[in-house]
This record gives sequence, structure tokens and C-alpha cells, in this order.
Amino acid sequence: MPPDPDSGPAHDCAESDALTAAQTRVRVALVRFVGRLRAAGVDVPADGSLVAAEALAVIGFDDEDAARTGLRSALVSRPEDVATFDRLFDRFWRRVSDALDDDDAAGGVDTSSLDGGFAPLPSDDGEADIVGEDEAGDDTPAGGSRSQQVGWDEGGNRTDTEGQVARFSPVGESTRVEAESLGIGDDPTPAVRALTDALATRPGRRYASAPDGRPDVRRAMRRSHATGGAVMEVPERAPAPASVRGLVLVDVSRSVLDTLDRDFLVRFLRALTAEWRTVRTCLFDTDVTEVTDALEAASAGATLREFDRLEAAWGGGTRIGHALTTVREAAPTAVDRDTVVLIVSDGLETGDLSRLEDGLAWVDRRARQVFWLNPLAASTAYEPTCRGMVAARPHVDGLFAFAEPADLHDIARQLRRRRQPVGYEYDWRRNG
Amino acid sequence: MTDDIHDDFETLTRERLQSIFDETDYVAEDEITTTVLLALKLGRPLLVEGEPGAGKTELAKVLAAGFDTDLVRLQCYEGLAAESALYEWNYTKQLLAVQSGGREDSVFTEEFLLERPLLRALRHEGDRPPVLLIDEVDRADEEFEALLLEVLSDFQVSIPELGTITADRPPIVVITSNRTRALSDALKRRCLYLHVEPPSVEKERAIVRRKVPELDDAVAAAVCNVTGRLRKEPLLKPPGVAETLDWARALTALDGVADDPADTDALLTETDIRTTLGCLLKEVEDVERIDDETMSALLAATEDPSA
Repeated sequence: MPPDPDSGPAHDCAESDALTAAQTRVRVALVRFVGRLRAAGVDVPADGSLVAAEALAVIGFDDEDAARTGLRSALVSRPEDVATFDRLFDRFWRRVSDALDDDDAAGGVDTSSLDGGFAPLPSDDGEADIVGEDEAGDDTPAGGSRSQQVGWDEGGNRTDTEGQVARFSPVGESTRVEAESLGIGDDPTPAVRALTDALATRPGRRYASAPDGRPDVRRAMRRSHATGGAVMEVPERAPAPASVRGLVLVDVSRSVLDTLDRDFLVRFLRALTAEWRTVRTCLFDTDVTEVTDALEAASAGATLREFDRLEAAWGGGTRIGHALTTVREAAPTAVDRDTVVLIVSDGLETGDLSRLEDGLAWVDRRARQVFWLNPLAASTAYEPTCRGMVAARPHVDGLFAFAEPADLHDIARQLRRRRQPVGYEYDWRRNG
Repeated sequence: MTDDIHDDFETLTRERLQSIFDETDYVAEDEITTTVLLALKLGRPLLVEGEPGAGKTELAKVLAAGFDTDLVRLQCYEGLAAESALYEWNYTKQLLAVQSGGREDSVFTEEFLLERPLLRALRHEGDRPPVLLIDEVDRADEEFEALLLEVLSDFQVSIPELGTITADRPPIVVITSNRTRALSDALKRRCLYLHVEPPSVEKERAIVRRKVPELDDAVAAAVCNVTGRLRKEPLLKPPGVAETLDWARALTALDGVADDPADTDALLTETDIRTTLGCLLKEVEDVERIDDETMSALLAATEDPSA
């Protein structure tokens, strides 16, 4: 009886080879899938591939929906990434299905047939396979632009063969370019930190040692162990001023933008968002647009792109009263007794003055402090005689100049001086 | 360490897990079931994010009930520190021990250790590992997340005076967040992630039927339709599932819908809604927003959810 060609050691060996090859193909597809997700801006954890592989091993390949759910739980940690994941998963799953079905491919995957995120990984000799070269464009992030793809410049030139490392930082290049264009030298972060420290009067729930606080019984007892239970000293503690909670209303009317550097403004707002505990930021001219989320974008350039996406308008007229009443109606909880309100405006109100007064009275009642930052006050000849500022001044705790980081340092300096008047009249320009 | 828990749930199937959810009246879609199954099999903490009222906390509760084990809950808040979450020394007892004299050994021993939820979960003694619910972790400070890292990755706690305490049987960890702030990458990396969407009208209807079975089916549907319509309004505090269930129970407690001479055939009348609106809306501005026009829309929605 002739041997059965489908059985015996040779057949087992062939099956084993096929299985190993299939595993390899799936593994490769998974690694590329993860790389593709990162390139598309998905925030994949560093060990995402490993956890995803474990998840796939548990779930198996019989049920696409289960595999999708499993990989999503391992690779996605932000709801906003789900759509990108789902879009790329379909292609990944197609590749995996092909890999598992394709017995002929045992011994290695034909990477030359793959495209997009599944194209061959770059070889050691530097032959580039840069993420984003898929001209079909169906893998670009939804709503995203080519400039968001890593390793790609707008001119279509790959700048160097080492650019593949950029696949780990999907927005790296555009961030750098935008930052340079916005001028790193004017970083207002240190000034914002100084301002934050000066404003951080809100007591947190965390306690810290304080010479004029209340007795810290726990520490006193603990120290007494060293002296046989005799309490020799009583340390004191008090709630530490923790942070600032704020609402920032920014006038982006034409008159303000003519006097205030827009890049400085964006950097200032981003620094506030980073330094303050919570801050809600609204841009207004004749309408109001909340841009809080946009200010958390990865770069200043990304923030500007988000502003565009939100259709935040620049350069209309000024309706401060309308902005305040809109905030009051749409987000009344944005201002509470712990909130510091900053209004960046020149005060050249074009709307109804009574609405401005009503709105400011509401803010004044609810907020901890209200400060007005006026770009026009950077001129030493400035006097707040326009009708908007006249109406506003009774309701604000300080009117300051606002044109550069030095102004922020000066505001912080003034606020640190207790029981002394503050305002543009006492700033470094006029008393320096 | 992970292998122990892996062994416990090695034979667990999706069908069995689904039946546990069914038995505990928890309405779970396939996505929830699959992700929970994975978390159990891989022995990884499960980070559940979603809107308030989406059923995140309930998930941990039904897991504890379904697996017949203890639920150890750590409610997070601003300023939560190690002594409230991990462990604390019983200083009073220590002081008395020191003052009474005659004590040769240290007062930093097991005898003086007070367990807090995290340590209690790690040292849990029982046939099955407990469910550790770290609820609303986004309310805690960023620094608190660092405290969790050792617990979540190695299921151990280092106590300087005592040494490292490691869990014999790692707990099932469920962490919930309302996304009021972003969590650290280090924390997210240690977890499987599940985003729970607010329930659809159909799912909410199923939840109401299970949780308030005494309410008539048609009225339950009307309740969900009205709640769904209410969520389309720009409310300060839109009603969640918990509010829907409260309302359904309130209507049941009031012995069904009130008699309204104007419309005796209606599933829900304006009087029913007005008198029980406090179950759904918790802000005075929201209550004031329900004017006659909005009320008409709500009444129309009782019959037709698309109204």
C-alpha cells in the first residue's frame, strides 16, 4: 500500500511550517497595524503590540467583531481614536484573513504586495518605506492633512533616510515646523508660571507644613515615638494653595489683533491651559467660540489648525457684553467662587453697554477675582476712557497691560505684594 | 502573578460571562462582554471611561455579584492620599504601646497596620479574588495615579517599615473615569480600555424592563422615549440611566400613572411628568427650561421617540 502523501512525518513537518509561517505573517501584520495606528495619530501604549498579541491569542481568529473589540481595548485609550482604529482595522483584518488562508505563502510573506500601513518595514540598509507614502490617501487621518503624516514634507521630499524613526511620532514634524514659525524665543511659559504662583490662592485638600497652620497630630505622634512617647514638638500644617481654576475670555476683534501679536496670544493661552488646574477659554468678537480643547493640542500649530476647524473667527467687532451673557447662559458653572477670570480685550465695546455691565456684574459676583488684560495699556499714554472700560472698571480687580511676557511677570509681581493697589498705573513701564 | 488569575478564568467563556451579566440584570453588548473577558483572562486592570450614568460602576458591582466575591471599593476624590488608599499606621495604638513601656520590638508591625482599600484587596483571603473598584480616578490628583502604578502592574505594595506585600491572588481591577481630565499614559498602559457609550433608547428600555419589572412595558418604553427626548435639550445636567430608573421607580411607587382628566388614554400625562420631574432634572435652570413647548415635545415623544 503506497504511503498516504497527506500523512506521516513529512506532512506533519509541512503543516508545522505552514503554521509557523502563518503565525509570522499575522505577527508582522499586527506590528505593522500598530505602526500604522501610531502614524495616524492614535495614542497606542508602548507595549500595545504585546498586549494586542496576547488578546488575539485569547480571542482567536474566528470572530472578527470579537477580535476588533479585543484589539481596540488593547490599543486604543481615547474615544476619539476609535474611528481611526476601526478604519485601519478593516484592512488589518483583511490581511490577517489572507495570511491565514494563503497556504501557498508558507515560508514567508510577500511583502511586496502590501501597501499603505502594511507595506514592508524599512530594511536595515535604509531603504525607505515611510509612513504616509500611500498616495491613495485613504489612510490619512480623518480631517487631517498630509502635513500630519510623519516623515513627509510638503514638498514631497524625504529629508533623510533616517526619517523612519518618525513613525513613532506622528505629528512630530509638523509640530517642529509650526513651533519654529511661531518663534520659540517668545515662550511665555515662565511668565505664566509666575502668574500662576501669584494667583494660586485656592487652598487645596492637600496639606503641607506651615508655621502658622493647625497642629499636625499625626506627625506629632509619629515623632514622639523617638522620645518614648513624649510629645516634644507639635508640627503644624495647613492646606496648601494648590492651583488656579480659571475662565479666560479673549477678544479677537480686529482692533485687538492690530495691537497684540497673535502668536504670543496663542502661546499665552496654551501655557495657561498647561499650568492652571482647569481653565476654559473662549474667543469672542461678535460671536463666542470655546477653544479649550484646541489649546490642549500637541503644538501651537495644531492649536491654530483646531481654531480653523472650529471656525473661530479672527478680526470682527467687539461685543464683550454678548460674550459674557452667552457664557452665563451656556455655561453658568464655568465661573464659581474658585474661578479667576481673565478678560483679554481693549474694551472698545461695539455692542449694548448695559449687557456688558450686566455680564460683568454677574462675573464679579461669582468669580474669585476678575482681571482685565488690555493690550492698549502697553502704551504709557493709555487712559481707560473708552465707554467699555469705564463701564468695566468697577467690576474688575485689576486692569493691566498685556503685550509681552514681561507684562505677565509684572502682574505676578504686583499680585504678590499684599495690601497694595495693583493695575497698569503701577506697572514696570510706568514705574520701571 | 498574572498566571494565577489567568488560571482562574481560563475556562471562562463569553457565553458564561454573558449569562452572568444576564443573571445580574446587567445589559451588556458584545463589546463589553469581550473586553471584560479579555481583562479577566489576561489578568489586566480594566479602565472604563464614559459619561456619568453609563453603567461603569455597575459593571464592577455585577462582576463581584456574578463571581460571588467581595467588592472592594476605593472612591477617588481630590486630595486622596496614600494613607486613605493604601495603608495607615494606627498612631494612637502605637503611642499607647510606646508609653506603656516594656515593648522591645518595633511598633511598625502588622499589629499596628490599618488596611485601606488597595491593601485590603491585595491581602484578600477568600476562594476567589475580590473585585477592586477604583471609582472616578479622574477626580484624584495626577500624583495619585503614580501610587496606583505599582499596585496595578505587580499587584504589590511596598511599605518602607514592613517590606513588600504581594497579592497571592490578584484582584479583578476595574477603574472608572468620567474623563474630566486626561489620565497618564503610564496608567493607561497598564490597563485594557473600554469606552462605554450612553445607552441607546433600546438598551435603556431593556435596562428599565430588567431593573423595574413591575412597570408596564408600554410605560417603560414611554419613560425611555421621554428621557431620550430630554437629552436632546441643552441641559446643564442631562439625565443618565440612573435618573431614568429613578423615574421609572417613582412612577411605580405612585401606583402607575396619575389620572389626568384631560387625557385618560395617554401613557404619560403632563401631570405625571411635571410632578416627577425632580427625578430626572437636578438643576433649577434645567427645570425652568421645560416650558409648554418643550413639554409638548416630551408628550409627543411618549408615543414616538423620533418626535
